[in-house]
Amino acid sequence: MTLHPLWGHEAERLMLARARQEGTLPSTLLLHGPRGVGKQRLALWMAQLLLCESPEEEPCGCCHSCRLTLGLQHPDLHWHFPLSRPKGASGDRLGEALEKERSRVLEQTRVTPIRFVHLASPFGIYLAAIQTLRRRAQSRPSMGNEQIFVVGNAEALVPQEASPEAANALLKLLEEPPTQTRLILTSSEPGRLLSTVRSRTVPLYVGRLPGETVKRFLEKEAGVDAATAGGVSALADGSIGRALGFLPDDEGVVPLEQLRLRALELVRASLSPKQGDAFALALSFAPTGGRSLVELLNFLDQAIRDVAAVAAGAPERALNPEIADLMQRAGSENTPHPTDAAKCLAAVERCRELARGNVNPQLLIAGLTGDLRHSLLGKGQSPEGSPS
Amino acid sequence: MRFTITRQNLHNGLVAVSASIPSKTTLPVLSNILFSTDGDGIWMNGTDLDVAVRVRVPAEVLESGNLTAPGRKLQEITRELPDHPVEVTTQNDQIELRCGRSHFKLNGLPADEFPTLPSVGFDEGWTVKGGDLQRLIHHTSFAVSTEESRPILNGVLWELSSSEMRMVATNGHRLARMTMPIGSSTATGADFIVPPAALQQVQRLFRDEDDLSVSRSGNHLGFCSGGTEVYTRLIDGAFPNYEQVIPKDNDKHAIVEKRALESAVRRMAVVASDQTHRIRMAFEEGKVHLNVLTPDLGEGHDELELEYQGQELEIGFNANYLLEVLRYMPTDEVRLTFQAPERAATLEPVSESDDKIDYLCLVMPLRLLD
Repeated sequence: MTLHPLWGHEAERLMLARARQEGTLPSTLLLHGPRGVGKQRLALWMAQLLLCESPEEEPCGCCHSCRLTLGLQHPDLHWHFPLSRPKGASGDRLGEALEKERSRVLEQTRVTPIRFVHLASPFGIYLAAIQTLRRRAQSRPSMGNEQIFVVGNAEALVPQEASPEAANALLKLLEEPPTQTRLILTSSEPGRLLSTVRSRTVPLYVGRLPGETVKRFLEKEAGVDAATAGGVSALADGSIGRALGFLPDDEGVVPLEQLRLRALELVRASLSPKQGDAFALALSFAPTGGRSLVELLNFLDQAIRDVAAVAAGAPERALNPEIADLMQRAGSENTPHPTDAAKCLAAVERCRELARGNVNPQLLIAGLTGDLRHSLLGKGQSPEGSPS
Repeated sequence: MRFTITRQNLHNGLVAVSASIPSKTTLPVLSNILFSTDGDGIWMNGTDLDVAVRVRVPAEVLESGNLTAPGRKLQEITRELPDHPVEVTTQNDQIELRCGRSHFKLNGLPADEFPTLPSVGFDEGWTVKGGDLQRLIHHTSFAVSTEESRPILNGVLWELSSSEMRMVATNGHRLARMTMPIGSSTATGADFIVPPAALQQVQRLFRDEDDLSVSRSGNHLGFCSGGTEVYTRLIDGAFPNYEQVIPKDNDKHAIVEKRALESAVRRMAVVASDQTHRIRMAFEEGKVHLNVLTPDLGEGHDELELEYQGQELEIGFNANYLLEVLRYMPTDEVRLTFQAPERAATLEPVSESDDKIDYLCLVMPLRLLD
């Protein structure tokens, strides 16, 4: 199998291709933008263009280099991404274990290039992986004129607070890449990158894709029927990666649907006149594994945005169709003002930071629903008095 | 592709190439050997991307073609095969081996997934004697650094000119430098930083009597003799100016029997600290005192006769570095030179014959604590 074609981002492609032709392409790039819009695929496309034997504004797609790149087999393309920390491996063995795991994931991508990638927690780009990358960067290219290092989800270079070793180990390479070496970092949370990493890379924003592009991708590349593709692309918010999460996997599980429904439960509990509903919901979470809440909170952001849309009289703009019904059930006296909904986003952000610090999820949810109730209904604890 | 080959030729080719196959890799095709037919023989290629080995073995080619097949499995199979001709055929991405009553089918990968090996033209370059190159590699590559903090020191500097060649390796604490005459040259002088893994392959695959063609193309250096070719990726960067650290004004000289010194240092190393491996050497006319004092463990003292010229001197060394350097000294006697306890010491072979060996090792001293 080979990688699927790159969909969308025509303007960015043109800009990068022209920069390559003019010799002004920076050695270190940071592609940032929402999760799942194709930043890593764009980075791989860029690598293909740089390694192509007869490139123009697009890689030719048929030369030996292009075929190897599309099969993730090119010896001068090094793709790194966050991995779960291998159990029982430390010291020198950690580097080997991480390479083995990376090899496994790459093989999985070769076999099934179109699949939803759920980043298991805890995951990260660890120091041992960067040491491997640095060692490779010191060699000259094997086949082509350049070697390209793609570091996907680069925010994982700091897997948790106070662990910036991997990011720091990359600084020298970012500042002075060896000749014939390029680094392309991608991040959906560039604010979590070290400022020293950001200052050493040239940023390029990669935006959301039009819903129609996501729909056509699902139909053509993922073989989804038109009706399903339409429904899923509406939830995808311009992200192919996210759209894939709303398709059932081999076992019939829809990975992101569970999270979306859980986020709606949080909104329901926050709008409920009974505070006990919020506590009952908090207790339904496991008492450990705070980091696993981060993805849920991203869905909550979207649900709150929908609350604001419905409150502002634009229910058709809501991505979650259930929100309007949910607010109607809460009663007109419990309908928040759109600006109140906006205030909730700050509470979610505070909660997200605590979740990254692995705080007890039950406490976090109890505190968060308290904050949300206070903002939306003027009830419950004030944010200052809450656990968060 | 279809060819018939003797078991021995197939096995020899696979053994030569298999050592360049990585045991762990993110690119599955690198676990394979690329077979391609060429007239009355076949080429076998293997690479770990840093070093590539290409070997031509005679075979009766019945149908031309190419394919990659799992290297280690093929080697294990051919090792156990009876001594009969082996018929090798490929069908789609499978390779089939028939030898006597044995029959194997292995899954391969298409040849176009195999990375293109560097194309190095050997028309322009240097010709060196296999034995000379082996000697250079043997006496210098041990000093290469294994630390990743300075990747440039992870390689051996190889300086080639029209008349001589020199190899230098160092880890910042000890250094080895050797110079040999060169066979012939059609290229101007050049410096390369070569990974030791590639030099190991050169040592393994070429014989002393071989005349090796050496040539560079872009990022790669190639070695070729007969039907065997080795290619290596070069290390990028500028090697430190090693001449600067080699002392020219060491005024204290000692000549000592290598084995006796080696043996005494080894004895002292037993009691030396596990962290520093520090031993103390006090030179005076006619002898050297070796001392070691490790508070947690105990102390040791030894004495050795030698020829010494100069003022008395007390100097500390890492016993391991000293032993390593002594091990590679090619003569029975060695000359040590010093200037001061905090300055580098040099070791050179003492040869009574006319063909003087241009070999020098340098060891940095350790600070002595009173």
